[in-house]
Amino acid sequence: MFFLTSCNADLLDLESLTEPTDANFFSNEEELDLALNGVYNSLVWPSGWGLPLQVGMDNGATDIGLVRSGFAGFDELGAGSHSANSGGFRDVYSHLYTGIARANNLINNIDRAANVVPADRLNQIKYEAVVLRAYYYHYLVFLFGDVPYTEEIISNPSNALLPRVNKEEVIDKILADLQEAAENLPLAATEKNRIFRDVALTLHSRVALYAGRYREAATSSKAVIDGGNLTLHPDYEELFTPQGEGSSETMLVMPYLDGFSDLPQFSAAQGSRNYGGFSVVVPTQSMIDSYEAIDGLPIDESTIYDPKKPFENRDPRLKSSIITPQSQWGGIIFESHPDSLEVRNVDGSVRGRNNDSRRVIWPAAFCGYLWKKYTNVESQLIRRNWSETDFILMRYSEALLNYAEAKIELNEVDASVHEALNKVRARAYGVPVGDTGSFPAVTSMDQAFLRTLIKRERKVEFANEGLRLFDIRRWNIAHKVMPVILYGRILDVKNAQFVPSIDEDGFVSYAGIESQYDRNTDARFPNAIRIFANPRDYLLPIPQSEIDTYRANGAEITQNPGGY
Amino acid sequence: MRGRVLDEKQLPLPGANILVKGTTIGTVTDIDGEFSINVPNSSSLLVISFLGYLKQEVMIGTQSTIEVTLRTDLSDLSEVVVVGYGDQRKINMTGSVETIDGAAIARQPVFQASQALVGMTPGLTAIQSSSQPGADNATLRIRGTGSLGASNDPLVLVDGIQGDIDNIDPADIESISVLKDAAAAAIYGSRGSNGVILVTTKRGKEGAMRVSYNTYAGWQEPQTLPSYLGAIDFLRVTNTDAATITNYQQNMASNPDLFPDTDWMNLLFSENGFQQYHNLSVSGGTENIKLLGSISYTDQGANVVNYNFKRYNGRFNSDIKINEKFSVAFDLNFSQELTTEPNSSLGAIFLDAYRIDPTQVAVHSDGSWGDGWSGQNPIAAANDGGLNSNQNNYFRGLMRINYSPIKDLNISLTYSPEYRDIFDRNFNKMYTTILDWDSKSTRNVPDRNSLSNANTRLFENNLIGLITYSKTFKDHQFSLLGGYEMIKNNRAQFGASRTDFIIDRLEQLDAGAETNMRNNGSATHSSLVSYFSRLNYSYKDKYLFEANIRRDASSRFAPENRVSVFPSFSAGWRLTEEDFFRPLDFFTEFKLRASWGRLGNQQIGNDFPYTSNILLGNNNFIFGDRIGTGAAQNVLANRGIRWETTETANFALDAGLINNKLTFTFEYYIRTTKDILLALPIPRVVGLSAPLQNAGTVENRGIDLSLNWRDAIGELKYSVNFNFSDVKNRVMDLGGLSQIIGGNAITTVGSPIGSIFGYQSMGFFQNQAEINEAPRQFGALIPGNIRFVDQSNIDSNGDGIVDSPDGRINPDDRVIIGDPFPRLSYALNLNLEYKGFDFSILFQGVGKRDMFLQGDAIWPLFNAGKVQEWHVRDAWTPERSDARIPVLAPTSFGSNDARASDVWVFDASYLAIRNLSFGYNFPTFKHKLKAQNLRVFTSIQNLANFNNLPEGTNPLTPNGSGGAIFPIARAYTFGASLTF
Repeated sequence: MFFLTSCNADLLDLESLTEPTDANFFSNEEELDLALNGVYNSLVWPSGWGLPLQVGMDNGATDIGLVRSGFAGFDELGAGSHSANSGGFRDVYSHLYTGIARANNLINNIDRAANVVPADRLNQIKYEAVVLRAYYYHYLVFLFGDVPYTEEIISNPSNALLPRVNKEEVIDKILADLQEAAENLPLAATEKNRIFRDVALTLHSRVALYAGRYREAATSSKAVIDGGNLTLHPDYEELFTPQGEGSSETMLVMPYLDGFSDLPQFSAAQGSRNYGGFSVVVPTQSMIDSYEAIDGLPIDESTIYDPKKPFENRDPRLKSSIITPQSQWGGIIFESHPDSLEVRNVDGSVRGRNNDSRRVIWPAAFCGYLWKKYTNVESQLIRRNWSETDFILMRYSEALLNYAEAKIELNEVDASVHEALNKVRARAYGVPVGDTGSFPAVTSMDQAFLRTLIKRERKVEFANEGLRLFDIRRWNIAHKVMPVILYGRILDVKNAQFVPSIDEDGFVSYAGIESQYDRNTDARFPNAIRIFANPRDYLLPIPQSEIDTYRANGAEITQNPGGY
Repeated sequence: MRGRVLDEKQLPLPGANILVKGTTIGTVTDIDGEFSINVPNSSSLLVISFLGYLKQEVMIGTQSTIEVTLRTDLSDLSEVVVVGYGDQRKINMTGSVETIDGAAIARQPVFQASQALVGMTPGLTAIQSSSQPGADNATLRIRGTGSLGASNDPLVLVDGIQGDIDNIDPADIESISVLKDAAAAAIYGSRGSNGVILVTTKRGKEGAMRVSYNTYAGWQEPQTLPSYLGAIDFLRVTNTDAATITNYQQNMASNPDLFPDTDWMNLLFSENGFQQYHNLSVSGGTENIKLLGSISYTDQGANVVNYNFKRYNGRFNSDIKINEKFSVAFDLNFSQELTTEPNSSLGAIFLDAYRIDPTQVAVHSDGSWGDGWSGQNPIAAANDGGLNSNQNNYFRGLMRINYSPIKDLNISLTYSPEYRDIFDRNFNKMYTTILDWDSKSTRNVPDRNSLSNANTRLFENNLIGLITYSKTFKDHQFSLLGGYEMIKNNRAQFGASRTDFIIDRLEQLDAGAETNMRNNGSATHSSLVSYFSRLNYSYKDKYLFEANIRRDASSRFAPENRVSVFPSFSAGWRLTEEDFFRPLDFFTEFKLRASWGRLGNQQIGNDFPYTSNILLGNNNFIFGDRIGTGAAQNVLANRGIRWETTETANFALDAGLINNKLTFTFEYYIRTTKDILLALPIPRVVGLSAPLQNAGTVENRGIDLSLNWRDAIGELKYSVNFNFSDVKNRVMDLGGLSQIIGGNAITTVGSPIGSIFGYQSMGFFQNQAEINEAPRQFGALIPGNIRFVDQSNIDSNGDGIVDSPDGRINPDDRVIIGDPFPRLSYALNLNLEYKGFDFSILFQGVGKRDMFLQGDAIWPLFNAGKVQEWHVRDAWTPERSDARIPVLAPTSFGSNDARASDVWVFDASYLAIRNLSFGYNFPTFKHKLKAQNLRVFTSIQNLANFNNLPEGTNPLTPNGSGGAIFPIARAYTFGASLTF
């Protein structure tokens, strides 16, 4: 028995065979690198069909798109059926704090390796993590409002009952962090997808702009523009295809690579049902009607827009981002009219049953359009649903439009503002910015006019990239653009005569002309009728589970107002 | 010499054992109770024995024929029950132990022993909800469900060593003991809180060597299947216009590729489900060496192509007496189990077959696959989508040395190593469907083919030392047990996969592309070190007392929390031994028992919950074109984590009447599980998953009742066994949380674990006006859709109490709408024997259970799915306003009709005829075949099920099912057993 007892301690003192413990981690450059990669990992934010959550935000809960199902949280928000118990919001909240905790863990422990890692390397690792932490916090404040804020490692849950911090204070910290990071990070990316100075600055301009701090937004975006490290990709449509990967416009991505994680099924979720896609995530009629005519005017003001030929003479970004009826896709002519029971090949011959008609298959493209952006034609043709194309989280175009908007709001419109706007608009037409005859260049000095224009410009430039939700909130137009019935395409194009009216906020109204548009009343699209509780739904509810957790531990965290 | 063995009624006793004492010469009586045996000399003694009868020794002398009458062992005084680390006389038991005889298991044609436990004993719930070969084991629960975060499976020990009841050949089982209360299970301490099942395998007995061959074979069919509308009826109910239907009807015969009428059920359940079993065993021995060797082969098919289970099993048990003080047992068990199934999931095969409508093609006239549900063709997937195979190789040795230096003292040491090697290979093969019959465009499903291999190796070392001492002083009987046990587990796993196999018949990793190679590997270990002791005391077999104590130390907990002690006490009083009870002498037994004890649960699913571990990989990022490995801590550590503990109090009455023809046991228990491991939510700002914490209390209160009647009417011998049990499960505390919601289940204080959670309906919307007036619900509603109740969930006057509805339906309007726990379980087992014939039937039922079904399991027209015949009869129409189900209209997740609501909660009580078997023992085969015994038999498993469910739905379907279920099969088998 004595023999047995002495053995017992050896038997029972076991350690994990596969995982180190935090007691001895962060001790050298390799381990810091591993931990930093873990912080980057939270940029990967898959939602329904493996698509980036940002796509779910744009299509589930803004006026530009519709999802049939599978984007828990944001499709409920659009349909107005969400509550504080909606699991999707809890996952969002949790995902962001996971990234923040990883960053905090690294930043607070980085000095453990100070003796063995060169100072400049240590610095770069630290500030990449700082930028990522700011990135995760910026989603938190602009989705939820006031949120708990910490830069510490919390190892005891009883120290975690942190109160919500005023949104402006969190923004102060984010901006300060980004400012400091910008001063410490290299001017250019040391390798593809790694954070560099302009990422910090552009994020700074985004956060400042969202917060209405236009002076700061103008300053940081100007620094990006003046830095000269970035250029717009010459071909707008190509930017969102495999050929556009690694463009000098791209600043931050959610990367995808065969063999890494699960790949998003863009072709399945957004693609044509004639190629085996499911058309679950689609653009709306109001998105289509938001693209200018080529005279630079919205369609209700333009004299060259003809509702009988609704896709002609339009901003080229319409065709770059969206597959419209009678346009070619792969080898077919896409047609979504319910009565088009057969689909034709490009040469006009009948290919067979038209699965893009809802009479043939009920879940066919709800509004009659498909997103082209990120729906990889090659993927669809070789019948692979997944896509390896990196999803762009931040690009140079945003710095330009952030700068323009900030300056417009400051009422400091000058040539640099026109230059920034026109760079983006010229690129849409594939022409140099100096070739002002080939695209509708902006020359107006009028603040009100430019305010309307920048709203339109951002809506079309960043469609399906996950920025729209934040734009309709900060412009305070969500309560106007959201509570609508989503209409589809014009059914009888030959006899179409009405043009919807578009107001100064870019809101497209179909009042009185609804009959011209397809209305799919299938109950299987609960997201097609939008509900918006104003002003409550300008913020997401703090997850009920969080409120319950605090309460169970004798603390309190407040809910956003409006009643849940 | 020849002879005959009779019972007290002078009826022949077939199967009685005859042995010449001190030799290996022996035989067994035939159907007429007769035997013949070669006796060495006239001074030989014949030992005649039979279970349930008193043993007799007969001096042969000069007789050439004898007749022996065996007397029934009325009091079963000698009946011994296997208990933890030993055995006990049944009359002295104070804990709650049920025993199941191996014969009752062998009677059923099942390949997983757990299945044979259905209805066998009160308090043990065995639920078989699938007939998928290799995955058709029953879920076992002893006296309810106690845990939320840890395992609820009972501890199973095979010959005293932790094992898997479904990993052995059911025919090898001699008996099973089910330890239900804390007194019986406390000796297993931290592993015993879910009850304990002790499986004892057959061993060689003293006597002539006997060779037996047992076999059976049979076929299966699904017990219940939904019955769906054909193409034309389907088009009618989906409001297709008349011209289209006429056109469809006219073209169906001539052009089935464009106008199909596909019977998906018929195509899916295309096989006869052949199954067969063969077992050859040799057993016997002398007083000093007893042996048993058994090998068997199992082959189980299914009604769906490519599902199969095979088991090769071998067992050698030996007992060797070295001298009067030393004896040795040496056992070997090895098996290989091979399970194959289509690579596609149950969802992609069964659920899709339940969904896809008859106007979609499964197989074209030229043999090519139809596209099914956007490429998911379940018939193609089952036949042509590649196979998963699982090979489970198992080896266990056991060596036990017994040393008995003096009478009454026994010391034993048991060492048992166990090794398991599991190899999985999953090949996801691409099949080609015709996307469009006109253009002949095709698509490959899935996008890319892939192969993954995984190997898992488990090694468990088990060492047990025991000392037992028993002594009788006059009327006082003592017995004392002391023991030490050490268990060490090692587990290692690695896997590899590739995609894009150009030549897809080469199913080896090397044949795949190198672009998407992945591999993974991990290992873990754990250990448990224990000391335990048991004291039994009885006075005149009248007053009984037992105490157990176990001290466990587990590597899964931090050193300061590592050790815990689990005690139990029990007492019994046999009133039949009291003088004052004499007047009631029709009672042959009347015993009162009570027990209390504490048990633990260390099955917490994580070997290192108390340290902060950094997970490598799975948190990666891409830089350039390389994957940068990431590291992150994902779960917060909880250094204070401890065992769950369960306390059980048990009160029981055992009675035997009319010479024990009638026996009766009634038990009442309160089983309280405390410190339940819950991942209590922590503020998300921590950024890590919540650790398991010891919080929460669940109570199970219940009764177990059993009644046995055994008698004979003339030559007809019969026995009836009835058992009944009920358990009420209630969550008492959730560590401060009010509720835990997971999908359509809620665990909340005051209700059973995992209650069904959904919307309460108030009938159907009868017209558009009602829809307009009602609180806003989900999607665009039409008359005939389900109407939900707007529950009070807002606090209108700020007094902290919700008192008014909010005018819209959202997830906060969900309430508890059912209890999926099976309640009021009962079973009746009837056995008849007449001359050579035997007959048995097992009824089994559940008196109360709610079952929520969803999706393709129940919803008509769900996600473009199809319609069952009963849907048409029971759906809402303007004329049928009080219908059972809503209007037949297309639906999908999100709309009112396709959400968890009480409309889809069904009464799943049932009465099943679980098994019916019939056999005949041939009387005269010994001369022609030289066989001592030949029995032929036939059996039907899952014969019938009576219930209130919609037709085509089986009450054994798991709660919440959406249709991804392998249905219960009825099996017809025929067999024979032959003994030489």
